[in-house]
Amino acid sequence: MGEMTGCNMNRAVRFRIISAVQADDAICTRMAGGGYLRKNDIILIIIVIVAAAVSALFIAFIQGSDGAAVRVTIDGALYGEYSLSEKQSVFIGGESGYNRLVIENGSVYMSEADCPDGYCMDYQPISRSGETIICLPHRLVVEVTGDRDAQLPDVIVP
Amino acid sequence: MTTKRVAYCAVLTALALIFGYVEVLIPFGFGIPGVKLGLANIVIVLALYMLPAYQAFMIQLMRIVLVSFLFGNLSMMIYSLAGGMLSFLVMWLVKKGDAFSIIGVSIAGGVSHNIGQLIVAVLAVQNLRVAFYVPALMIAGLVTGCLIGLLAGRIRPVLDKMEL
Repeated sequence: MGEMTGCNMNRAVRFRIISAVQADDAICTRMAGGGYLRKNDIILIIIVIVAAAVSALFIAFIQGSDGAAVRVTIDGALYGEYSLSEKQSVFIGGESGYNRLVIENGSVYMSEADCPDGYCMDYQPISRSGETIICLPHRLVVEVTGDRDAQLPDVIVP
Repeated sequence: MTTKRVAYCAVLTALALIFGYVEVLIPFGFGIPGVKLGLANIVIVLALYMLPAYQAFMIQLMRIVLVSFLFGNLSMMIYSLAGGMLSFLVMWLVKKGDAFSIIGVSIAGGVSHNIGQLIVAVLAVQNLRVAFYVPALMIAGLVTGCLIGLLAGRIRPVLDKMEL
């Protein structure tokens, strides 16, 4: 039967051996699906890593340059837009609670919030177009939009 | 389904609850919102291998609903259900062909759990930008799935000797 090292046998061999030696060596049936990494597992791991890398690249590609304004939405509906160039503190009072945004130095961060998890306050200040701060319990999204360096036309000729 | 089996499923459900409660003590996923160890999935994965699928499904459903009722809220239940149901479905499918080990099944479960929650998050805030977290959550699901799968794989031979 060749070498039997634990359950490194391929399926076909394993099943044949089991039917012949069913009484003892039930160890293999028990180990089946046990903690032994198979080739397909490695393939799966690689697929996940590649998928994560591809989506990360894609997202980085979409990520824009320094932003110009901040758009706040609750439940997808626009709550307000604020310029990144003005130092300000924005109080957002929604149905489920409040959030406070602070805009300074061209970036925005969440200074206060009464949501249960407080994840929104963990973010580092964001400033690049496309970046977001999300407060899921309040269904609040703070998104940086626009392009700070966008060139305005010098002259508009009617 | 014997009385013994009913009791056993109840014990597993309770165990899953405890795992979910205790894992809060272990710091994990620093900074990334929504990353948990998912220790309760040890129970679910093992249940998939030891019990008929529908019983494992009931354990998954019960533990999510109970945790949400006991320690959470409706909103949390929606996210947990989304992740938990997708995770269970994927694990069941992946396990079917017997092409992967318990670790592979667990990895598939971990990744799909996070993806399920992300999908609901995108729908809740109606902003596709939430998908920014896809890479981080996929890796987190991979790592936790690996860990849970390793643990479950070690436990399984011991449980196999039990008569259910």
